[in-house]
Amino acid sequence: MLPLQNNDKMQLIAVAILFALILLPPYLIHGGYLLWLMDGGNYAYYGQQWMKGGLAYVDFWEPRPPFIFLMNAIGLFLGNGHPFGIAAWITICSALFAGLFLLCTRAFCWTQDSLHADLSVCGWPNWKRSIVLASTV
Amino acid sequence: MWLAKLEALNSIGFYCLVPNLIVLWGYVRDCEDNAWGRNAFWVGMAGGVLAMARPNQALSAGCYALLILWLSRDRLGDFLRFAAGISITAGAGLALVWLRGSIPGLVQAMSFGSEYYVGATSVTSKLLFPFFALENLGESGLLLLGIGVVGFCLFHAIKSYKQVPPIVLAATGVFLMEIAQASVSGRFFSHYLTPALPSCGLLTAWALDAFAKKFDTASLMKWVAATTFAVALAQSAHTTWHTSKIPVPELALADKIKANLGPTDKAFVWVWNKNALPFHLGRSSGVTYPPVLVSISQKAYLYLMPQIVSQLKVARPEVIVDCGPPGLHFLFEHSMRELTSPDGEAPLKTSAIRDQLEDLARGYRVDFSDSATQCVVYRRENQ
Repeated sequence: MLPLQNNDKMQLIAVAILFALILLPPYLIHGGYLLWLMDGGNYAYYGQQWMKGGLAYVDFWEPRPPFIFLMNAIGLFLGNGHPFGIAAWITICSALFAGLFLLCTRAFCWTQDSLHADLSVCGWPNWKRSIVLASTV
Repeated sequence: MWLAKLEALNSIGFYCLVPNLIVLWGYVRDCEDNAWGRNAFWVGMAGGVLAMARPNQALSAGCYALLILWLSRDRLGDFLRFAAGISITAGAGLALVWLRGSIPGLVQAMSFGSEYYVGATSVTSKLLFPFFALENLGESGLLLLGIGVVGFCLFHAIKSYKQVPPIVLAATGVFLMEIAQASVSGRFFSHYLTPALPSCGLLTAWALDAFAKKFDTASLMKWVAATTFAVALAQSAHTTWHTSKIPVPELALADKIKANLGPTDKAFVWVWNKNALPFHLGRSSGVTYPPVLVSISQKAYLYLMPQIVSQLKVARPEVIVDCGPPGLHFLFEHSMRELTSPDGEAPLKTSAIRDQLEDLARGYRVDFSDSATQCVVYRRENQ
């Protein structure tokens, strides 16, 4: 696997910004209304109660292990209790996944030959990376 | 696909994409290098996170451990590294519950999940799940893409290498495992397929790359990539616009209730379709179990309802919000009447529970009704 170049780091940052642009806007409406669909509202409530000192499986309860409580508590911690923090945390998780995915695809997509390719798509200097990113989305 | 699953983004499957990818990549690297067990520690750590999220999802990590025992050159050492990894993350999760929760409560939650939460429990229903999964993937526009990818991979394998590339073999294997883990409960929700996204994405990326190399289609592919981004952004903008048009009266109701609530007052919400209310009220409910679970099955109802009612009688929340039509006289009457078992049988209401609810209702008065949400707010009588 090739070492990260400066250009690669810029692309990873670009991925994070791209995911923020795609994922965040719907959450800015109605105080994060989309978070409350399906079970998301319950999970946010559990995270909130955990943050306030409630005991898991005593003061609130869900037939699942504690990971989902933890993720929502982290989001609320980041947002100082505001649900926007959960949206921001979701975006961070997405960007982390996309970045790791790009690193994984280096093994078969980013050969030394491809680094010499000088094609440009939407500011992306290597078309193969764009393909990988597109398939990630 | 992510945008199609936007409503389930705050779900376990979505948060687990990173550990899912780590497990997948462990398979891919070990398969390519024919060195099974080399990434045992990291796969173990990711497996521990998955076990603390949704135990079904740890299936792929569990199978990795079995492969170590079968194929590794250093079976004991690699297995111990896997065990160390899973112990660190799963142990951290257990420690968290020990410090800020209840271990017996966690055990009870897990047994409840396996006994009451499962839907169709027959072997046939579990075997049929992959067909529902394929149908769902087809609705996401991925079925055609999947057929194209598999077809191209087969064509490529036969024409060029005379064998299936390790990355395709590993990613396909993990993809099938993710379908299998989603089938375990016998219930089907489309977001259960979220863990399959990394393997789907990796197969797609590999196939597109191989296609571009074989047919020298760089100029075409860059437009494919640009179009994908444009479509994703357009769909995001459409979702934002659509969401802004949806009325959300629950938030106004929460503000109205909070205006007459002290910071330590309890507020219980008997509702399962207005999930914004409990969070925006921001108060302890005084009850352990979420009322939404009583609608799962008759068995779950009969197990949970007596405990919910008895806890309500002890906690006596300052406010109880019952989302039914205005003018209710008996607490939970509307919700109880509507609650039927999944197979459409008679309402799930026993005389014992009805008596307890009516006894509880005597300590409450109707504070106000909210026509926008069709909720009735009960306030505790000072006695």
